[in-house]
Amino acid sequence: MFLSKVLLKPGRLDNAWEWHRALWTLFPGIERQENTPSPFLFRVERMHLVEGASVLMYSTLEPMPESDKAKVLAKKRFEPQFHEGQRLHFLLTANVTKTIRDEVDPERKIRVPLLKREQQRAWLGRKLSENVLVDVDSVGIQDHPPVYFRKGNKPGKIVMTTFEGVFQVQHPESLNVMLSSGVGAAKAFGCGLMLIRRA
Amino acid sequence: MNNKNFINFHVLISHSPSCLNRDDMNMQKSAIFGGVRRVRISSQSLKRTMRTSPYYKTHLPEKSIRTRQLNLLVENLSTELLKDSADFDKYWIEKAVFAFVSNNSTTTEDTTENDAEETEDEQDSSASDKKKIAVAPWSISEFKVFYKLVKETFEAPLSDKEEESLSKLLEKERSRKPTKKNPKKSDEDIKDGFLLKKTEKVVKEQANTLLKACGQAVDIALSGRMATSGLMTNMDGAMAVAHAITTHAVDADIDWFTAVDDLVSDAGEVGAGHLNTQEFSSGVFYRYASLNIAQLQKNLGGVARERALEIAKYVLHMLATVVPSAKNQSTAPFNLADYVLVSFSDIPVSLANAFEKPVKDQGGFLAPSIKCLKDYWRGIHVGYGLDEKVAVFQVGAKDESGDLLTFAALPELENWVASNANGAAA
Repeated sequence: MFLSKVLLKPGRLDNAWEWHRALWTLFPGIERQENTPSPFLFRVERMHLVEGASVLMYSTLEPMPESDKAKVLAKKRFEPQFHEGQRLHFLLTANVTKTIRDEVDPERKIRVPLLKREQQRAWLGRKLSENVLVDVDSVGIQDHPPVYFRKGNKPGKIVMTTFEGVFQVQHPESLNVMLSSGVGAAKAFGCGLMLIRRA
Repeated sequence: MNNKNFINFHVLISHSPSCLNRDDMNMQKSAIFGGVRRVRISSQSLKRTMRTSPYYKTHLPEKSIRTRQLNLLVENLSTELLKDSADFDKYWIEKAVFAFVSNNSTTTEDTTENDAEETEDEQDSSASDKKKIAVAPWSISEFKVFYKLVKETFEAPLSDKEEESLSKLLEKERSRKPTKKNPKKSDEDIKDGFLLKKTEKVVKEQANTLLKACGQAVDIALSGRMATSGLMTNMDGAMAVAHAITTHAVDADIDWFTAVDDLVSDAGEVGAGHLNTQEFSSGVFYRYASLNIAQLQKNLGGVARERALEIAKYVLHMLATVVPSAKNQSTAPFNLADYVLVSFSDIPVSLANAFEKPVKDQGGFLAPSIKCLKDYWRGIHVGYGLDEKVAVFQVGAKDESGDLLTFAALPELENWVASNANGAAA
């Protein structure tokens, strides 16, 4: 895996749909396929429409140094070694949702954000508990204003939530899998990349 | 003739990357102001830095003794007192210390909160109600006077009337049924208690003498003291100090990109590879303090204005130069102030709101911070029709006639303060 610090060049950054498209340009020749996970996760560190956005990216493939839309500022191989009982700090911005049936069209499933604290904590507990021990009550939670995007001519909205706290590793291997596949939905909008450091 | 009672000190000082003041979680102290995070240096940290600085030692020789442990206090006082004269006796020192704090309702409040940097070795002794702690600052001069009063009172022969009251007390105690909570006291204890009450009366009569002596420790005169026993006198501080904050926003973000490196190396030992990610930051800090001249004169035992202004001069010097000692060896943030604005005024006025809108980086934060401070001072000065005498020290200042009276050397501003803002027109 690679961890990279990337600058998204200014341009169409006001549309969140363009973020992952800019990152895709760092992986030329890779076919995008429906229903396969993209080769990278990312997290927006700082969004600046004029200067560009600062992004951390976690990818299975090595990105190329620069494209017309993005530039890799720093890059390193990242193969974390976990062991049982290890305590880690984590930071995760996620799209906390549940799937419900549309009221008008029961055949259609839609995702709605969970906005209550208890729901958010429970969601995090469900997502993490297979790999780590976490006391969800001690996790700090921060809400963000909704992010709007346009995919072609379809508008949409994403609600993001940031979790920050400490957990204890239970299953090192599956934790690694979780880190590389990401947590929750909306990974194309910079959700799901979990950052970790030693506690 | 300048008879303004308040001196306002406004200081801009830029620190290179450092971590000067931490909270109990070892995180850099911060505050939200104007909706953004600022790094903060607490006022207690600043005051302590001033009190313990070499400059203070040189110019204001006596400072208070601050400890939470009575036995340490007795040691300290003994060392101090026996240093210059053999007239003191450890037995009486102990007695006097005990008398000074003995109080049935010892409050544990202090004028100076203990900040994280202030690690007086506090041991959690078993919480027996016998546990006596001294938390208020002690002044040696004051203690000398007190010592004398205690010794005299305890050694003086009792009058007939007193003998009578004492024997009544003894009789009462002997005939009392001891309980678990209140065991029988020895005659000695009863006598001590009796004499202590007598001392208390004497001390109350001599309050002014004590206060005057207490003022010898200028830090108490400046910062005040919350009395922790009936025999100790309260003192209202003459100096108010604000928490220093950065004039601009400082992000608390940890650099995760770098932090993950610790995970790559195979750390076989669980939890033992404890690496603390200590946050460092640099910034331009605004320090503010105001000095109440009349209060200071009073606290020092009714000295002349000149003496208070002399101390004001020292305060100015320290505000412009001291740096809290945390992590000095690893960060060496020995920066001096770049800009100091001093005003003699009828009221204390903080200019912190000059930075309520965080300063934006314009080729550094210092120049825009100075401009903001100046503009804001002028706005307040005009807006409130304040009658002030103002002068400025600015590093590398050119002679700016027409604007504020500006000195390029700090001693010049110090002298201006000491001379009661002489020859200044703002």
